[in-house]
Amino acid sequence: MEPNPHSGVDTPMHTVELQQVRKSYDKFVAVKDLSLRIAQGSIFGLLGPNGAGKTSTIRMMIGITVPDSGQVQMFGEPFRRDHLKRIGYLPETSGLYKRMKVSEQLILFGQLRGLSAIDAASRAKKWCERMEIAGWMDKKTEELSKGMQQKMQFIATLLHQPEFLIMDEPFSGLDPVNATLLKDVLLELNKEGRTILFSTHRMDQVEKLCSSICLINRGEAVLQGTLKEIKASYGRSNVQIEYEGADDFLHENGLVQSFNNYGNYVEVRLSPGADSQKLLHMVAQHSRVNKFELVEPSLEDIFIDVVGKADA
Amino acid sequence: MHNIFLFARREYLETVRKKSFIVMTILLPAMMFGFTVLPSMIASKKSGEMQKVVIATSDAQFGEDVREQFTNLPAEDNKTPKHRTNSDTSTRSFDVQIDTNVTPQEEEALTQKVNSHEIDGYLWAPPGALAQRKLSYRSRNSGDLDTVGTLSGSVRRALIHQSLSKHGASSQEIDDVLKPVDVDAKKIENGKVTESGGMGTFFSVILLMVLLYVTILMYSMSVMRSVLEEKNSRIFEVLLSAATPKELMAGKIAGAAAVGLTQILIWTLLATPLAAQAIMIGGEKFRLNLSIGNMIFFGVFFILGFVLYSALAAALGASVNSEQEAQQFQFLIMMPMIVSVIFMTPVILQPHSTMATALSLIPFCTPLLMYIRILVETPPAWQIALSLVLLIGTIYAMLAICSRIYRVGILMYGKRPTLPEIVKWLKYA
Repeated sequence: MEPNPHSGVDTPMHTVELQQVRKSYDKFVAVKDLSLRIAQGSIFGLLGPNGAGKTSTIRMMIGITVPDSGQVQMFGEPFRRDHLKRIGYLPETSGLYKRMKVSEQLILFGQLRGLSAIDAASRAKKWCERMEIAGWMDKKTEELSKGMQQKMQFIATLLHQPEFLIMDEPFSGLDPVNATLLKDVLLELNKEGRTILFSTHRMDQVEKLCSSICLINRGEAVLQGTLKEIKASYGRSNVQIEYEGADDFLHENGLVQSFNNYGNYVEVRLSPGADSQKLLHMVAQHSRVNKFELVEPSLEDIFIDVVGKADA
Repeated sequence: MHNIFLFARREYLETVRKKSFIVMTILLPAMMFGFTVLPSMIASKKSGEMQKVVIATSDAQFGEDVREQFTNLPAEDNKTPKHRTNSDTSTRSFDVQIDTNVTPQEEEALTQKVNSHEIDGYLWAPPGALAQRKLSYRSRNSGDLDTVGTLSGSVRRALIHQSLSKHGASSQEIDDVLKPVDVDAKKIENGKVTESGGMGTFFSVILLMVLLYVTILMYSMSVMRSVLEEKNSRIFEVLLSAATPKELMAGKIAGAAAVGLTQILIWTLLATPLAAQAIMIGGEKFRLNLSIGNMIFFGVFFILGFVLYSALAAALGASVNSEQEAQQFQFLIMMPMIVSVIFMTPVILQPHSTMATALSLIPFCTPLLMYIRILVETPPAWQIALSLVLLIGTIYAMLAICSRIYRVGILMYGKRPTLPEIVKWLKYA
């Protein structure tokens, strides 16, 4: 394959690059010298607990606020306002005019991004059909259910066919059917070459969709890289156990570093260097084992592990 | 610029489609009609009822003379300024009877007749009282100043009539002497006598002031509410990813101003037939003083005043979290408006006084007070120019300050900012 003339082999094109970005409100530092890169065409997860600085980071990325220090590079250039025409932003809480008609509102958002009224109207119609809310286009926004409003907001971010989509908790308020519909659309858009940034604290979704992540806590990046690298670095050090009987083995400090009880089964993180066979023996002594499986740690375990350590 | 237009159009359409806009557009003129035209219509209706009045005097000829004056002479002269009221006595009719019995028994009998509603009142004029020119009128309604005024005027003219007849003047000559003098107040503008003046000017000043005051106050408050609504629905997050806070604020103010102008236009169209009605009822003196020049100034002061106050309102809306919180600070916006209204009457009466000049140059009072001065007695051009320069300068400064408060405030949720915090917002780059 010919190397891309715009990007050397060593430095692939990045949609977003934050360099030592910092934002503080009074004495509270919301984002602390954060650096991250989002590769073009990737699905990137920006993770962190509530109040970690995710929204503050996104706001600086798209120029709603200006960083106190550091650089924001967008599409390989320092951020400019006209980059916004190539970006779609779905905020966490729905931001819609309640009394406006669905169709009028979608057209307004399209026009704000530089579309003509006619273009915006035809694209809005197409997307409403795709997202199964076409029957509601003449209704007032406030008459729509929360899930339908979320879909409508989603359409509003797509109308101008942005190259870069920022999705802040896009699945909140959606039932499984609609969540799948939304996920399929996003994957399709990604296949077309559009970069997608997920900001969420729902690890299971990120695990299914993202190729790279950045985990932030208290405004600082605590873990970043591709999902594969991160999981590999944690190794197959987790054991899922389904059992009937006593759970004394969970408190065996030499073997078990931490555990997470899911009710139907328990996931145990082994202490460094511990032998999983020893644990199996121990469990079998006191209870009946239905399942004993070595697994990669889930992102949630990594998340709890990293954030828990930082907070300790 | 394109975004400003989009926001302005959105704001405009949403407000104009609201029920409250339609209700307000109809209700306010109805209320003004109710407060001004209706009472005089009711009063003139009431005067259609016949008032039964008895004149008790031993001098039958004098009684006849008073009756003649009562029913025949022009109304204007009957009224002394003290007795001038809204209603117009010229259309009131009286049934005047003469009673030559002035004994105390008859006085008692007349009192009973008033009490039993047989008559409305009686003028007690025994010979001694007539010589002293101190008569008394007794009725159930001692507050009916119109009738008292008409009576005293008629008695006075009857006495003049009597005494001139004694000197040999003919009835025609006496009527000529007693003919009322009409003083017509007209305004001189640019060295020319205009058609407007007197009550017409006064009424148009009050009318336009109410329009300016109500629309500026009402729509600056609606700007504030709409900022609050957008802040609480977090729609700013989306809008700011497509437009700048300045565009948002400018669009909002422009949209609301367009709504205000639309409402005024509707009112003007509604007012034209109403004004004709007022002239029919009240005569030429109610003719409104609405020249083209006055309307242009109205537009200029409306827009400037509107932008000034709604920029303040937008900043207020952005720095609070709920309407209840906002209400505590609304007085900051209303205060200069109320001050302007308090000083309205003194400024109308003495538009060239030092106080009027000084107040009308304070930018927050200029839209109302300088406009009054232009309506009543056009001030020197340099004063108008100075007031406009000061006003526009203040608007420019307020827009700069308010858009900074707005820009930071709209993304601040939770607690209400303190004053030092707002000052800090102003310093954010």
